[in-house]
Amino acid sequence: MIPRVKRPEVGALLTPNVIVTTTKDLVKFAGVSSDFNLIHYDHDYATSRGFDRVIVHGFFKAAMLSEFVLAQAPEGSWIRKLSATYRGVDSVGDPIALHGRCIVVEPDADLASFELWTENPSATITTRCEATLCWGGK
Amino acid sequence: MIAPKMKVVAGSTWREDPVTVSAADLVRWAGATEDFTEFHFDKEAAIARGFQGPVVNGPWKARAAKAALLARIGHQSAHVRRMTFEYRKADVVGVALAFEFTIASVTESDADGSDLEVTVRVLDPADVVTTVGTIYVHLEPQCDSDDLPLDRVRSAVSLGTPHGPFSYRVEHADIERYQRLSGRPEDRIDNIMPAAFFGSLDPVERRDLELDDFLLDLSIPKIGGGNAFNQVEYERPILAGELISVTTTYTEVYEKKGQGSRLLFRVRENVFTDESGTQVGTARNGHVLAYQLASAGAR
Repeated sequence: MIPRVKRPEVGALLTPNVIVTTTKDLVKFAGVSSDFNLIHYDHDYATSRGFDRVIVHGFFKAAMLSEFVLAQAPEGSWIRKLSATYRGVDSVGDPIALHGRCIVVEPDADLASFELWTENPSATITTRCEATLCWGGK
Repeated sequence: MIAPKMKVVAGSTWREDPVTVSAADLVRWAGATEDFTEFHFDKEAAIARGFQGPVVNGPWKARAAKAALLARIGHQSAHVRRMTFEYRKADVVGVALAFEFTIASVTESDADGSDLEVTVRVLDPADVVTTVGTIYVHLEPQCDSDDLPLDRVRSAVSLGTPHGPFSYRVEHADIERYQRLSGRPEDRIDNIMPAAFFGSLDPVERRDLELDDFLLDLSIPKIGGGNAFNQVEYERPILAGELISVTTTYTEVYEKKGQGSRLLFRVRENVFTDESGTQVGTARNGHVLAYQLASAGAR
């Protein structure tokens, strides 16, 4: 398990992680998120729309990035603000690399912001996120 | 732009070339529908029931009629809203069936397109009517240019007007599943709603609020779409077990021209309140649909 940092520092990179999704993961996510768009689990539909395979939900990538930053944030952190912009699709089975960097720290407020992003196997950024975390009971 | 293959006029009648149903057709149908009633594919079982051979499934005939009608109309945005069928006589495998259609009525509206009521008769080689039915078809208005119907979308979503509230319970089991799926280790599973879970509380994502579905049926070919961006800000952590009310307001509808396509953006804002009526979060979501330009499609 990647250790938490006690005090984030501006510019510090998070320890990257890589996730490979399966169709089963996407079906489970469809169920828990109530997003049943066929493009996330019906191969024939996805190929008819011009994709090689079914594609990962945008919200799923945002959720993975949220967990990625929370796992390395100070104990007791929660995400107050989250924004995600989807730049490209990720296909099921392709490795999704998770990256992040601390961009703002407000020590008095026990608050920090991170830019987060996913990269596909070609190192192209497919999702950009920004998350603001609070801890210390704030 | 793909034009209708036929002029849609009340009173028009036509008969399609006969279709011979094979045993393979019925076996495929049985597999697809999980209707494994034996007299549809087992000759001995069919004969034991007094038929001359395996009996064509009634819904197979209805589906075939629907497919033949839509192919004949040839209108890209045609879709069936409802159909009813009555099966009067069994048809057996290997027999050529004729499908005869009559447009009983056409109701037209400039804004919403046309509604057709089409009667169907299925006839066996002796011209005996074995099946009758009615298919109700809706045709979206034809677009004569690349223009997207922005005003119609703005009107459909009631730009600036809140919709709801919609109430959703943040279930413990869902929270735990969501956290695990997103990569959280088992020893860190907790009862705080994950930040991205707000998408699961969105009435549009959940299809509880569907105001602009007609966009899926526009005659302009749709070539893609999905979430463009999602943003959320919480006032406090939302916990498993809470009942959250959501109101949704569409704030922007606009288009951008892409390479060979037009992109239609719809932006909506959600306000989340808890059971005491206190606001606990706000979200902003942008969704994009990509349509092929007619000029690009013609190249």
